[in-house]
Amino acid sequence: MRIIGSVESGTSERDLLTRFRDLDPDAWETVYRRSYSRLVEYARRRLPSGYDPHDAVSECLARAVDRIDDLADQGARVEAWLYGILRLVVLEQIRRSGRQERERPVAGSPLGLAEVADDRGPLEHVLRDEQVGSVRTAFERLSVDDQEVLWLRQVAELSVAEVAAVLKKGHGAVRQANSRALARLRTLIEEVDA
Amino acid sequence: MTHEDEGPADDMNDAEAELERFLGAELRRAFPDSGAGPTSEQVAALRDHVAASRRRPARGGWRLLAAAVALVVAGAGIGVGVATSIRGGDDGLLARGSDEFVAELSGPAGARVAIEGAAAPEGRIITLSSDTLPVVPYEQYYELWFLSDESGSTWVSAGTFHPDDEGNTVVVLHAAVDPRTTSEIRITREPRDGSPAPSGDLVASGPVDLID
Repeated sequence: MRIIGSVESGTSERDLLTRFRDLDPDAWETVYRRSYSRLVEYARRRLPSGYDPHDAVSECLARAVDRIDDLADQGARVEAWLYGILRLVVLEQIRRSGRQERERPVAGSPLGLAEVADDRGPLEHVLRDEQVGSVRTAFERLSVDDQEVLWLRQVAELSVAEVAAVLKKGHGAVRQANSRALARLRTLIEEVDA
Repeated sequence: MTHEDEGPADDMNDAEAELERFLGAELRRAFPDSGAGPTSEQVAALRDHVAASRRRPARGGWRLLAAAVALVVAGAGIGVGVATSIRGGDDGLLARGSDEFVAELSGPAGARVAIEGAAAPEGRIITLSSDTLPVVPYEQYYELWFLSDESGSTWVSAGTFHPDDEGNTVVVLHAAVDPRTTSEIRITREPRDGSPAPSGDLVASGPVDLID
């Protein structure tokens, strides 16, 4: 695990969690910095239009401070706990908005494609960008539940146990949901590329 | 970011495991981490909020205090008993003082706030309770003001606070204010911008009612 922020390098995840629970500002800054962009993107993808994902993340952190007594050391990283709180913040906003459709299209999302410096030639770049576009298009066609489990497990790289904690499901249910979502994604990619 | 079960789950067959490795990498490539971190102001605000929370009484103490406030409202005799029961540590400190004033604040959006004030050697101990103040993000907070002078032109801050995550507020503030020269009490919503001046975003207000 890469530790960035104010906590010194070499700090283990368990030590970081302990300091986080003790409301050590350095530990909070470390977690905040390293998880911020992923949390914002998670919120951005799920919030109704008109809601600011940065505000949702801020609300998530404020609630985390107030609920710090609820954070238990169960082998999961702090991020899993934050995703769980952020998920509730987002669901509250969805309920308030009264929307039936929970997701909004992300075409034009500020995510953009990563410009990775490498030594690939122009043709390889075109092929790679086309493949990335296919994956994104297929992902958007998945159900909200499929998108959520794949985002948490594959993009945010949470463990099965951590995803289970976020979604309040069993480990087996998460593995099954992940496998089925991957299979559906593969089918959709093939349809997009056809 | 790494995780404990880095590899595919044990109960996956080889084909599923390979599919997860391949599509997982494709998804991370399709949705790269922007790497955009919080601003220095956001980090500073979070650190302030965390540090301030360390200094608060333990949550159990707050819950006990909230229960005490409710019982004091219900009856003075019961209130004395509760005040005695919570003596010791921070709760004992907060229970000191002699009742001096009350106030009922209301706002244009429906906020209702009850305030009780007690005189103590270091100033006033102000207990503020409400279940109608909206939750605000940590870049914002509420601030309690005592307005003095005949024109109400002098604003003296009595402290800042947040509701809890369910919109309930029971806070105890210690402040160097004088209710006898106060024309009105107000609560404003403030941005965490470092400015000591009131924002003008009025949430609730009301007059002081001195206890004889």
